[in-house]
Amino acid sequence: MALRVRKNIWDLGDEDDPWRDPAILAYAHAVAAMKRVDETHPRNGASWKNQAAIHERRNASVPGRLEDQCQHSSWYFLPWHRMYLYRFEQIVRSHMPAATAATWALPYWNYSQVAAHRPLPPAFRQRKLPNGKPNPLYVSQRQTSPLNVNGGDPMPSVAVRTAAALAERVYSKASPGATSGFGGSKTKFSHSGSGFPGPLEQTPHGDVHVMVGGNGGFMASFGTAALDPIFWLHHCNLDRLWERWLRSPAGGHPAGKNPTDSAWRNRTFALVNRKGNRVKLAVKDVLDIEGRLNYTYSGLPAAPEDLDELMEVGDVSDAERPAELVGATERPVTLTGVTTAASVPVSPPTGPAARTEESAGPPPSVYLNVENIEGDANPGLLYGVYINLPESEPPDPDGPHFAGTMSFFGIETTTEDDDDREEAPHGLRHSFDITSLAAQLSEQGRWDPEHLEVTFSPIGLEDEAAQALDVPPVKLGRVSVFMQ
Amino acid sequence: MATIAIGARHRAWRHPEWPWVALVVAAWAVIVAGGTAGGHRHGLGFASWTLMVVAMMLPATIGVLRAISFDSMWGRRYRSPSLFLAAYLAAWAALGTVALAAWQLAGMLGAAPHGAASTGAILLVAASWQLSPTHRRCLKRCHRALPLGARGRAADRACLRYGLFHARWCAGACWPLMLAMVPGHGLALMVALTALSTWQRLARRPRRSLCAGALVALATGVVLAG
Repeated sequence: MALRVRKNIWDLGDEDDPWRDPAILAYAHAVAAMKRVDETHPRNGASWKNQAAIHERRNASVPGRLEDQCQHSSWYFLPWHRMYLYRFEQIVRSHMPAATAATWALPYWNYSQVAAHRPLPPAFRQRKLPNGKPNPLYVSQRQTSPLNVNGGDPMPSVAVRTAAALAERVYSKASPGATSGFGGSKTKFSHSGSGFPGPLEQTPHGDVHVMVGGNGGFMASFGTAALDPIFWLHHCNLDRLWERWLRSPAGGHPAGKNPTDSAWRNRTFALVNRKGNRVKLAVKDVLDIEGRLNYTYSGLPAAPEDLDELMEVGDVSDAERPAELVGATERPVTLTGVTTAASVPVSPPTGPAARTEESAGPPPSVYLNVENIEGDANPGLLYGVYINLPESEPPDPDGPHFAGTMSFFGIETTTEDDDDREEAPHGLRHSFDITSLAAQLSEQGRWDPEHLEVTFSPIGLEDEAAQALDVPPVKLGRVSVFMQ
Repeated sequence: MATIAIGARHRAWRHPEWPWVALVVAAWAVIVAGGTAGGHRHGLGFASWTLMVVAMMLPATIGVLRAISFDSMWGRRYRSPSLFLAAYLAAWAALGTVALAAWQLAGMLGAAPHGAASTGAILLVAASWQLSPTHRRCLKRCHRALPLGARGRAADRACLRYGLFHARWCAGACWPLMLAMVPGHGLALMVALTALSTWQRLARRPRRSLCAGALVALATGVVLAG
């Protein structure tokens, strides 16, 4: 069978002709068909609502239905979503005419490379199909303010940056306090996030979720995200970025490698096939997308001939030196939509990160952590994080103080007290590699080794406007600095 | 030799939980060597109670102690979990004091039935507690981490507060399992209850009805053997 090619949605349709390639319309008709299955078979796993419930259920549990499976803040984040997409794609094809299904593949939304591709793809913004019927790809539950997503406002450029993620050298790092590696930290099954997300899971993954969904929209929370048809194209892009990281060098290091740990490779997850029945897939079954899953991405560098080259040799993911805490806020910080600063007293490292004659080495890496993040609802905002921003300077995501973004995708699970749900909630944790930022600020004389000022400021929202909004608060238990 | 020493130091860097693992092993060693395998037919003393809390409740808490070490300043990587543990054990000791006093009072009044019957009855209470919504809530809160401080008294206080918080919800979930030790116990029962409480804390979806069933089975076993 010919290899299916997952294509860039913006190559299939644009502002001039949203439906140019029939593949988009075929997707729309299949989504409508999956929605109709709901009404006839409420427990059929292949129906639209039940597919979304596999990510996380929205309302009361339905006995016998597969629910609450999505993997976040975990090294299973990428393989689990790959499996989810692979099965979803098969279900979608089962609703298409045979000739279309023979070649159809899920498109991806690449919002990162071309500025004009940052708005939601046009076919997802049309209220009507070309035949005048309601468009199943359109949902009104998207951000309306400050971004009007269905009006064609672009995603903020900082929400779609991939450089930090692609610059990660290893898939998974063991040391809390440092960034967790490209794929996230080692965890067991992690639905409500007992581990730490990798930089890719933070940006662009979480940021695009929250920017599309806003406050209360589908994409902004676990339980409704997959009800928005753009969800699948967003994750398709993340899946592509995983493959991209494996195949080509970035950030001054060779191409990335997948873990060899058997705990990761042999882990299985339950999913649903096109007949609506449960099936299992192991992580190792989904690592060879061309050979085993029969798909590839347009514009992807060729895979190496020997796929073992994509695997780490030995376990290099356990850093010899653990990251060491060198400072933290004494009190929690609450974000309510206005610019908020936190003061972090810092001491020189005294443990493994200390540079003495005995343990000489390059200057330690510096990480900013935001720990124990809790909140009842996602505020639908993108917060920029700035280091040592002078009061006289406005927060500028393109300026020298910018460390990254925070959008808190999944925050509603941190306080969930649903008696129906057995899994315990956990606070979120974000980590930013600020090593090069620290070096730059140091060169400019803006780095104080004994004190760090961390500013959180919503992007695209003035403080006066935020005060008028009823922004759900987010509590940051501690803001801390680690060195490694 | 130097390589071995560096290797050992790096292992200690990566596994700051080693003292607590050693503590649990030591507690079990004392219990087994102390001949408690035959059971305290006349009830439990305060020292034994504390030893049992360490042996039975700490295995599920090692991960929390490890995380506290990693999130503490380097010079506090043993101090912080020690403070957490002190508060945690103090809370359990307070519960033990009340339980042991009540048991002795019942004994003096002649109201304490034969050890095995009491243990069986407590295990049945534990089984029904497993199925209550309060138990589920307690077990979930057991997973919650409180923010730690960085330095000085504020950091000490944060550790103590976290220890008490954790003990509150941990005891809320497991108090009947520990009370079952009071009338006297065998080593097999102790091992079974440790396994049950540890699994319950570490499993993603602890099957509470399965736990309740196991407790009913244990209650039956204890009464029949007694």
